[in-house]
Amino acid sequence: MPEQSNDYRVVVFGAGGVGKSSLVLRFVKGTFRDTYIPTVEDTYRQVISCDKSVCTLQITDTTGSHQFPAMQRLSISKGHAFILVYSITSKQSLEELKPIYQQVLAIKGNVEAIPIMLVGNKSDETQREVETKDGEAQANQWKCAFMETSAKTNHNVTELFQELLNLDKKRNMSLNIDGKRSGKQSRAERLKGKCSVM
Amino acid sequence: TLCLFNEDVVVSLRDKHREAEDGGGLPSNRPVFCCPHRYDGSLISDGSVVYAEALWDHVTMDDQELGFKAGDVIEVVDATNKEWWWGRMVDSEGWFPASFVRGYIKQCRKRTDMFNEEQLRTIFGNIEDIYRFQRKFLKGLEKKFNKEQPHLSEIGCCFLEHQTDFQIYSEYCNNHPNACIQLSKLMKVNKYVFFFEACRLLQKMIDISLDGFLLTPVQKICKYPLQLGELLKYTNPQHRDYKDVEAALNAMKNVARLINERKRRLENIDKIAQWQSSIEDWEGEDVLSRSSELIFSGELTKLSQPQTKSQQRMFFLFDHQMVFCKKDLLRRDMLYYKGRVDMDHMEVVDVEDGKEKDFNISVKNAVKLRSTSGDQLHLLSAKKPELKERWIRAFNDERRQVQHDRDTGFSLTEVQKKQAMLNACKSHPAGKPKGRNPQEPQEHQPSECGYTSKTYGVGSVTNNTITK
Repeated sequence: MPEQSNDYRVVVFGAGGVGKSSLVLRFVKGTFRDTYIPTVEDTYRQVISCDKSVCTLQITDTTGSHQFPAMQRLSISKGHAFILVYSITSKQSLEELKPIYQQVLAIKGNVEAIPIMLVGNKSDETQREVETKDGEAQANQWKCAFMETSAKTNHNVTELFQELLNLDKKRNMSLNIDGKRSGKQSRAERLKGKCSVM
Repeated sequence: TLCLFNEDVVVSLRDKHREAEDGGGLPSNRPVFCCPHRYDGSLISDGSVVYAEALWDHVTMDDQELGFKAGDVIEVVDATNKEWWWGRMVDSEGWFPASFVRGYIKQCRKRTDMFNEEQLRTIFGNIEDIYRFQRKFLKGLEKKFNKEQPHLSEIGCCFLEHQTDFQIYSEYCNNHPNACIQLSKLMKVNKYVFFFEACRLLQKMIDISLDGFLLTPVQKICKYPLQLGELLKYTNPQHRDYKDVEAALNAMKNVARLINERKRRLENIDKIAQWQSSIEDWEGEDVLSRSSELIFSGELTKLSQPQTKSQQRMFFLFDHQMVFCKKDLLRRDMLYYKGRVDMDHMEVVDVEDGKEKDFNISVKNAVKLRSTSGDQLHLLSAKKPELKERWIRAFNDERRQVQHDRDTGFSLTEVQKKQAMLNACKSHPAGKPKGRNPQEPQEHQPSECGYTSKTYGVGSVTNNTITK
């Protein structure tokens, strides 16, 4: 029997050079490269344990699409969870996430029901342009979670994906508790099916 | 070796290293195996037991081959060979053909009981065209690649030569949402889930689901500019290929931009169709039959010869035409169709404030639209000078858009237009007169469409909210 769990889709967004691929590669392959290689692979798969069960993530890298919003929308519509990455060394890279967040909002409607994580990457760098509290403030405004990571030093990388899944679970639980609306319940059930126990 | 597939008899050479031919007169029902429990290329290297479930019958008269029926579970003993696996069942052992059929599409075509041509066309779009093109493109690259001294390769010209060919990605991207819908419908049925998973395993593709693979062309076409950008960065300006790489970068940026733009336009037509169906008393052909983009909209005072009384109207400037409507006196969010102006045969004249000769009245913030044949003359005035400037800009944008579409060969297909109008009709609950129901979906959704009836009142710069 095939696993049906290989379609919990995490979509990673961010301006070029903020370390999207580095984060994903660190998470999936455990490696880091100092030189910039524009992404070659497009979609990755990784198994992650989360709250005693095991989930299989399909991670979609969107490198290159940030100038092409209509193309971005194609990735957004199939995503279950989103990671919005900026570099703490570039205020501009945080700015560039705003239209992407708006896109997710427009397509997914209620963002509070979707796990979104704002990520300040390159936390090992000393030439900081975006303070931690600025990132947090932005996340508060967007009602999403926040984390600073370093793909280089492997700081908070696995935690990032784990936290993303936790967000999903928390949301499902709260939906189950107050969820009288069948639509929300069926969503919760759908998601349960996607995190399979192996 | 005699090898029976259902009723067909095929003589196959027992050469396990022979590259299997696709199609080639072989029978259509090949056994395909569903999903060994664990599969990572070194199928059974660590000694654990791996099972496969047969999707189709394999009937054989060769005693070295393993015959079975669909649904049988086979223990896979040896999968080191690409085409033939050695398997074991309760009472027999033998070779069985594992992977001499290739890819998703060819597999699907063989299962006419599961897929019809239209479904396949929807799911895979023109990916076969893309594949054929990419093979040609790859050959071109290989020819230009300098094996001995890679840094002397001159590949820029390959992109320049093929820049228009890359536009076939547009069709693929435009179709992609339909592909996702069709696929997720099928994936509700286990049979299809197993089938696609079997295809993936046979191809030894990495473990992501089919929709992940289907997104790849969308991701790829966005990446060429990035990769060429990097190449350019590391190319010495004295390099013989520098100019071409630079031009290639621009060309591929333009391709991606064009594809993005076409996708956006396609998304917009649904909103235009919805907008039209929300208008009362619509007359004449659909907006979509000539137009595909709302350029600007807002309120203007209109005076058209031979009338003498001016009227407040809502104007919607599309490419090729401008529609004007009257607001309902009480329900300000309701609009009645009043007419349209053909912008292809209209000259826009900036009118100075003061006395206007043609109409013999005093005007402010006005423009005149005069048809080239001379039989139509409209005087339009805005509330503020800035608004008039904005409208003049919009009229220029309209002409530019029309020219641009002509240059790039952009047009909608009849099917796309029909589909959009059909979708818009569906969104109106049957039996309720359109526009009169305050619960109507498109009025109350925070729609991406910046010009649903609810937003007109806000101001004239409504088109900012249309997705860019």
